[in-house]
Amino acid sequence: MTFGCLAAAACGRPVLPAEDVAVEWKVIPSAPPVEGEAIAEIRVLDPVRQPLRGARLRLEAHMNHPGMAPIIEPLVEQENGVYRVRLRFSMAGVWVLFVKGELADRRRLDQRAGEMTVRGLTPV
Amino acid sequence: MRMLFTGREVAGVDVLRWPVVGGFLRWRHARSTLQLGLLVAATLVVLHGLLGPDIAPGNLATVLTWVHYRGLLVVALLAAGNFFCAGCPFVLVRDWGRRLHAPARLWPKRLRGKWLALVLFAAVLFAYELFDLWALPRATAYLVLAYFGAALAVDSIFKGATFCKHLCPIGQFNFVASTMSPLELRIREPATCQACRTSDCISGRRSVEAPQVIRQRGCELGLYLPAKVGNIDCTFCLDCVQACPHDNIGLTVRAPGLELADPRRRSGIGRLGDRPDLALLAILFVFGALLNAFSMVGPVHHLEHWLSGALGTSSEALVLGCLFVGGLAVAPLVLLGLAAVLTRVLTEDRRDSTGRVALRYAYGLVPFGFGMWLAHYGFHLLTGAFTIVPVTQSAAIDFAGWPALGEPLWRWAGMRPGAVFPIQLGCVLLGTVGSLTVLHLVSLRDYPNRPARATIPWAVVLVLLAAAAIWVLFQPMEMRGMGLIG
Repeated sequence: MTFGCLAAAACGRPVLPAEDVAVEWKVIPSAPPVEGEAIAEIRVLDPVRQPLRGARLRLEAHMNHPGMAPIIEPLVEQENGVYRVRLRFSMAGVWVLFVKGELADRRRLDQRAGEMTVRGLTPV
Repeated sequence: MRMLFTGREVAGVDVLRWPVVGGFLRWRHARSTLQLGLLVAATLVVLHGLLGPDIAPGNLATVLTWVHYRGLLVVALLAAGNFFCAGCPFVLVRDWGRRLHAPARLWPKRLRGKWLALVLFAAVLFAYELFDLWALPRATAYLVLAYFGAALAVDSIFKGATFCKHLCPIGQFNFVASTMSPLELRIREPATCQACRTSDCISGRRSVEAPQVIRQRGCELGLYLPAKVGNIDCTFCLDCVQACPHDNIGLTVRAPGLELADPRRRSGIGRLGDRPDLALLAILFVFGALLNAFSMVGPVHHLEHWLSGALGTSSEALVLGCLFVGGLAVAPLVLLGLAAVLTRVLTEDRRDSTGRVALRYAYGLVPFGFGMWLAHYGFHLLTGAFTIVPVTQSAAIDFAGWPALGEPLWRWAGMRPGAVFPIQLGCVLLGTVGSLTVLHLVSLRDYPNRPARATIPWAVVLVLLAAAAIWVLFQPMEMRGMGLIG
């Protein structure tokens, strides 16, 4: 019964947000064309700017106009602590990037990384 | 030509006599039921707009307002009528306010008409672009609160539906657009109205025991039903239906758009040809549709950068102001002015001034304008219809602190933009055909001896506008603000 209570307490322990973590990002190319391929690279850094490994993260990209479908893709960890994903943007305009997920120490990460512009096609 | 405008074009189809729907609409609490529903939605908009995330696709304020409300508004206008004015939550709050303070004044005569409403409508369109309201949940919430405040303030001082008739920008949009609606409130039997001595439809139904007490108000917008023509200024409030002691008002099916060429004098409005303010409102409606859509495509950013360089300014307001003056004033002035001149020349009829000819024909462009608004707002509704689900789920997490409605299904959106394009094209083309029909009806009415010659210049204007609209639809969309940075 004691073990059960402890287990219940452990399961019910609230997930702490990772508030002291910094997110660096870049998209290659920096202003990709609509429907063109782009690669997003993310680094998650601790307070002494060391990369945090072992996180399960996803990248969410939302347009700044309501009603447009977001892009939600899992980030894949590379050997050097960089998390990477291939993206294809469906609409030209401003996209707001969020990095969300769980760090290796089970802290929750939910940070707005920044904004980028996707170039439109050549006007007709 | 007169045979067309008897007001009894489609006799016998009366929605108020339908089972279920008719019963609901005849119910004295029908309007307040619609209003309560929209009040709940407005409350969610304000709360989530002020307290929720600052990202437009993730906030109920921006999603509900700029995707669902706008889209469903035009769809309802096309499919039925001005039911969003019927369900207006601003008027519900105003009614509550009037229980505390009854208005005593009449709106000043010199301010009556659509002149102020014109300025406000244009101002809202300008502010929408300048401040990128579609991207700002908090600003959207403040806009909704401003509407509540304005309706309450104005209608607490002035009697009737002053805010609706003379000021509300959304209302003016709805009034013009509802000329394309298939339903209209009309009297059923003229003989019944001729025998009526109390005119309850406009003056209200009074208590038999205490005649100074009005038990059911009549039309607050001053529309006397026996002389009412068309949908302009009708908010579908159904007060007239409730007030009429003879059950002589029906919600009847009609041919959309025909009222734009109807020469009859209209209760509360007069003749359309004698109302330059209404004609300018129609012009703003039409050219505003093009400008609003143009602001979302790539070439507008090239144009604004060119303007910025040409004017030697980095002021977004100035550059946008130039675009608005060009699109809403210069373009209509040139196009409609030239067409009016040519009409006078081709028909060899110079009884009316160029300005008067232009204002009479301006109404004929409304179907095209409606088609463009439908194409634009319909796009956002169709591509983002299901985003309401994840946004509501996310809002539940924001308010309750836990996923009460489940984890947000962010992949839910709507149709692919490419799949919506043929629908948009169809809307614009149908609107163009509608406008061509109305323009020719105006010619038949005003130039019965040479209607084809009279129509030609306006058909050319219409083709140019349609070509511009189709060009806009073909442009790559770029959803970013009008800022000159980036």
